[in-house]
Amino acid sequence: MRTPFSRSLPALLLALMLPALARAELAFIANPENRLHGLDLETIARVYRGEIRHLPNGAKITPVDQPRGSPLRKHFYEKVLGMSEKELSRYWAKYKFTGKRKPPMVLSSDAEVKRWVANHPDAIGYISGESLDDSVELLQIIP
Amino acid sequence: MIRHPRTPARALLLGGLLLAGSATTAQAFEGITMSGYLTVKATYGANDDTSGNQADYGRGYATDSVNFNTYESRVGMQFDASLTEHIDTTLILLATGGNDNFNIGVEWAYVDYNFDDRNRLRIGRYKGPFYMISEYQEVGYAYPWVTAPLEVYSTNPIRSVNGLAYVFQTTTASGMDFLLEIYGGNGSNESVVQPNVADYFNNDSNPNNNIPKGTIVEFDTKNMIGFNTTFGTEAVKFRVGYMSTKVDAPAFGMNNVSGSFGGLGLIVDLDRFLGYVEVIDRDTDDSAQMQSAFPDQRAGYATLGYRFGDYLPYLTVAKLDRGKTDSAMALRQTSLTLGLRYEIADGAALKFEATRARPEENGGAKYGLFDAPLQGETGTIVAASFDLIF
Repeated sequence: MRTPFSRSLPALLLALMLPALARAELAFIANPENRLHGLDLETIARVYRGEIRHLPNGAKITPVDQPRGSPLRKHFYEKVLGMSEKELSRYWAKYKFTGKRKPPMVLSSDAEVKRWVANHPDAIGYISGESLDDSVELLQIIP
Repeated sequence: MIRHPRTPARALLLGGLLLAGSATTAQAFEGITMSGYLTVKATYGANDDTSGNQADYGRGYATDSVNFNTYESRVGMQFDASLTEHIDTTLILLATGGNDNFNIGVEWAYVDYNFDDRNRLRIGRYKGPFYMISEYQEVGYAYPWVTAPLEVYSTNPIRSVNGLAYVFQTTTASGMDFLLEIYGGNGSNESVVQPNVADYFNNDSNPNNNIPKGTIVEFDTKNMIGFNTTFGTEAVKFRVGYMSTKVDAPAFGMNNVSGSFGGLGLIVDLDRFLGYVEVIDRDTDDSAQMQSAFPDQRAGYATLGYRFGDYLPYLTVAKLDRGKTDSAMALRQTSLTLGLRYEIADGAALKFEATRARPEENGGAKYGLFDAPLQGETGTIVAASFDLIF
């Protein structure tokens, strides 16, 4: 059940963060219906490593990714997973083709990530701070 | 004659792209993801046997002409689709080189039912986790070597399992992984007759026994049951596995003979330092017939590597030896391999390696992995590969 307060809270937070966002490189986003406020970076890292597909509360969570080689992707993996893109490729080479873990689905741009997240209640993704709007909910800013 | 797998690769890519409806890497088509791998490998080994003829290595792996078109060159395309929250499907097309043809087929296809993030039931045709890297042996980019050490990886010709697997998999928040896979099923496979076995029958008094070298024997595995477990972190991971199966090989008049494959392994992958260690034990039926056609073997290797930026030089020592039953047909050899892996770009690697193999005596002859006893004490094999994932 969503209260008027919970609906306005993200907007309020967004307004408060706007000065920061101008400088922010990366905004972590979720579907507004997916109440993931406070999702920590360690959990996000585990989701992006394919270790978990559900949160402890049982909610399904499906990550989407930016294209290989994009500056945002490099920034995200270095900052949150501590991995270079080459390390990431070696990691997925071992897990993806054995079906032991599933890599995030790759979309081609901020606009596509935003559209996907806005249309899929279980989705999370990341975009540049400048692309943020109210179709998605901001979870974290990664400087 | 040098052959590149370019045309089949392109045809396969095109087919894959039509299926996925998308033109770039690992793209999403409303829930279907496509990814793949490619290996183009060249091998060379000019070594004289005792009569001065060329001795090939690894049952066709390396000969005295630069060989691009062995089964070692391949393209794989994987399609994944989630049907429901619990059901994932995977289809892998594989094209491999070999003789004059590229063989393309649906190599693996399976359905996973995910009870939750930890428990999964797999049904279908999948790559068996027989040895440490068996499940991704086709994905050259996933490991340091041009070729996984043949002393170990040539001892098991079984590729796939048609059946069921139960997989329990968990990672703690602190990064400790635990995986247990229990699997069973059957399969159809092929294996090249051991050169020393072919020579043995060709030299005996019964001409009806003659088997040309390089003969491929088809065999069926049934009542296969095994487990594979890994534990540790991404930096240090241990592996223990065991599989036993019954085998029918009508060409050899074998019916319901037993075989098992056990192994221990360790992968250390730190920032700069890389280490692989694995030992395996192949234990087949004690009958004289089985011990002469597919004898017991033990094998192992250790690889040490160090990353200098995009360069990874590595060294592998390996040994293949008699197993539990002391068969005169068991192959014995030691080898030393020096290699270099270079990361060309994200997802692409170029690798070179040179192997000095020293066959050791068994049953009165030194075959090792060569197809005839060598003139000298050692033979040299060089190989290079281009490995890509996309």
